[in-house]
Amino acid sequence: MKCTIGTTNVKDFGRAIHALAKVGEELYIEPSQSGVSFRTISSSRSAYFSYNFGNSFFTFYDSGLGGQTPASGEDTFRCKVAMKAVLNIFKGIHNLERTVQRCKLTLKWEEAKLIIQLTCHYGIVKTHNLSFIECDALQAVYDKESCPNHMVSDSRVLLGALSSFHQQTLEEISFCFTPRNLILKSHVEEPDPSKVVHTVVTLTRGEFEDYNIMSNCELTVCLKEIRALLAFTGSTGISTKAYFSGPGSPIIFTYDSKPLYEGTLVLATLVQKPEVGTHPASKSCHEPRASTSIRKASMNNTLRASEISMMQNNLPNTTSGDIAADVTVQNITVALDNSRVEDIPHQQKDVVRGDTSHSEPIVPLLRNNNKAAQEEEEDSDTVPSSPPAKKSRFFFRRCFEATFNPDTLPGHNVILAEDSDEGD
Amino acid sequence: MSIHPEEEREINDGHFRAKTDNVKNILQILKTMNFRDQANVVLSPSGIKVTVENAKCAQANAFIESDLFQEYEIEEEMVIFKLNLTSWIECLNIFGGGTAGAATPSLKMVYRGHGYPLVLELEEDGVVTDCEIKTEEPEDTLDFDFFSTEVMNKIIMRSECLKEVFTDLDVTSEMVEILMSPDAPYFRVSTFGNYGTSQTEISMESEMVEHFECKQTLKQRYRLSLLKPSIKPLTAALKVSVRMDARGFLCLQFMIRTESHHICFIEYFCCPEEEDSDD
Repeated sequence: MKCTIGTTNVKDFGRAIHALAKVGEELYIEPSQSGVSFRTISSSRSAYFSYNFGNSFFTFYDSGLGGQTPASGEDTFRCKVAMKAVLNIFKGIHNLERTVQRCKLTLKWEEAKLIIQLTCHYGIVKTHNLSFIECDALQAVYDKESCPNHMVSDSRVLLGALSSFHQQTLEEISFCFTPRNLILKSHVEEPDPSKVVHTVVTLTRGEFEDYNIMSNCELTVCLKEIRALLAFTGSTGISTKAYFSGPGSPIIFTYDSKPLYEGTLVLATLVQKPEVGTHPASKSCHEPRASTSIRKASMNNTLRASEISMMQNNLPNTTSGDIAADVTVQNITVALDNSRVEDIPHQQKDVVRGDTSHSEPIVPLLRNNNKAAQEEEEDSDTVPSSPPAKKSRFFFRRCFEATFNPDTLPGHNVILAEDSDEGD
Repeated sequence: MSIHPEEEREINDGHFRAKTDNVKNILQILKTMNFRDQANVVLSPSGIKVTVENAKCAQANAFIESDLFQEYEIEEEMVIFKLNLTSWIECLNIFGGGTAGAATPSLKMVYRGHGYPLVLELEEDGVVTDCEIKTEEPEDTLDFDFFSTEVMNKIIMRSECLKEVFTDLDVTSEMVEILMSPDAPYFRVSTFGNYGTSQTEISMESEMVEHFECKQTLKQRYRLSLLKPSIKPLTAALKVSVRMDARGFLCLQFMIRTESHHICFIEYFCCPEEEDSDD
């Protein structure tokens, strides 16, 4: 594939790359007869972002598919490159329009190289050779036609509303749609509401270009990804369209500047009552993948990681009917954030626990946790000088209190998993 | 730090004495050289030369000519000592950066001779600060032996375009390859990073190139970590001259205009990286 972007569109292309970079770490490139598609998916598989650039976006476009047949007999070549590499090339976004006269992209299949050549002012030519890997198609399964709810908004309106959410640590935001207005709320998993700042922004239906809500619904999505999208559209002044049905189904944002380009962002949404206990969000993708979480996996605590794998084994599939076995982990992550051992909800059915009261612990789950906590205690006996990690202390508060006696728990002496043998 | 009263009289009898109305002239130059703490200072009738070395492979020299100063007196032909460049800069910066148009502190420097500290006196709006910086025995500095006759290739260009090239260098690449040639691509900087290779070419026909003289195609690799310190003087400079000699040694010369519109030069030498021999 060979294509050349002229000076007016280079800026938009650079912005697109920046927006894609905020979401995912790999850039999937798929050329076709009508244009090129750049896609990415977030590491937690909760967001899918796709840009389709039509032929007219380029001053020269040759998909390279005319005479060649792709090796695997598919209808097109597909590859992916490291997002960081491409982002570095389009780093100085403010300067792009001023300095870059032409940008030429060439995909060389035989050498597995993507060549990006920027012709800049003053006779400077920058050539970057990036290696790519061939890959399968990246396509999220969604159907915007079947979504009963629909909204069209000037992106600047939404961007302005989002700018009111100042918290650095805010990861999720709730869109509460009612026929009359849209309420944006900060969404924080915190048992004590007085500890965090809550922000609520209300937009009446008059603020939108089109507002068509069949029923109330509340959708919680990841803030970073929606911001990435709006940062792009807000600067270009395009309208953003949103299609959604309800919590648990993905919300689809689209925008276009036809026939030049169009973008689609599909975000997984959380289903939940305000407190703990959630269904997994449903979001199907063709690509199989490992466990997911709507939060980034950055909340690290080795104990937690081991708990997740333990719990994953204990959980049945949910009834949402998609490839959800691995998706169930996200509600676990949510539950863990409530950070009380007793609050881990019963996960056998899709029962949602509305309250955070102490409850009878599920025997296998809790015991495993306590076993881990016991090991922590034992560890701290053998290494008295090293204090236990703060987080584990917080989660297993009761375990470190003097009166706790693990022997009082029912079934403490039932071993579900034998110690594995030492290596040969 | 204050000077004892009995030394006041002796300040004017020192081996070296210089005074300038605007300390920012010198401060700007020295700040670009501060990639190491220690610097060799050579005081001579023509001016001050400050040398900073990096791992015995790279060297930066700043020349601050005597006509930058309102008063400049030196009794000996040449005085050399070593001092802590970071401390010197901190003392010169004692009244803070300030924006253009802000009050400019004046500077008086006195050096009484071997073993004595370098005494600085800064004054701004009636506030006077004096500092003493200890001096040490000078270190031997490298002589890159860069005679003009040996120089093969030389390009003089405006600093903005080279600055764009150097600041965009792929940091995951250990080496930087520079090619200078009388034929296309004329001037090329390449990096070999984790994600792939990048090259930037500047044609001799570019408006940014003011002088182009290449006799032979020369291509050498340099460590990125050794070239990085040259970015600071490059940013401050108006023009830069890139020279490569037959041995592959690189010499960058930066022409800097100070706040008071004097021209100063900073030189940066860099050793090439040895090609791996095939065993």
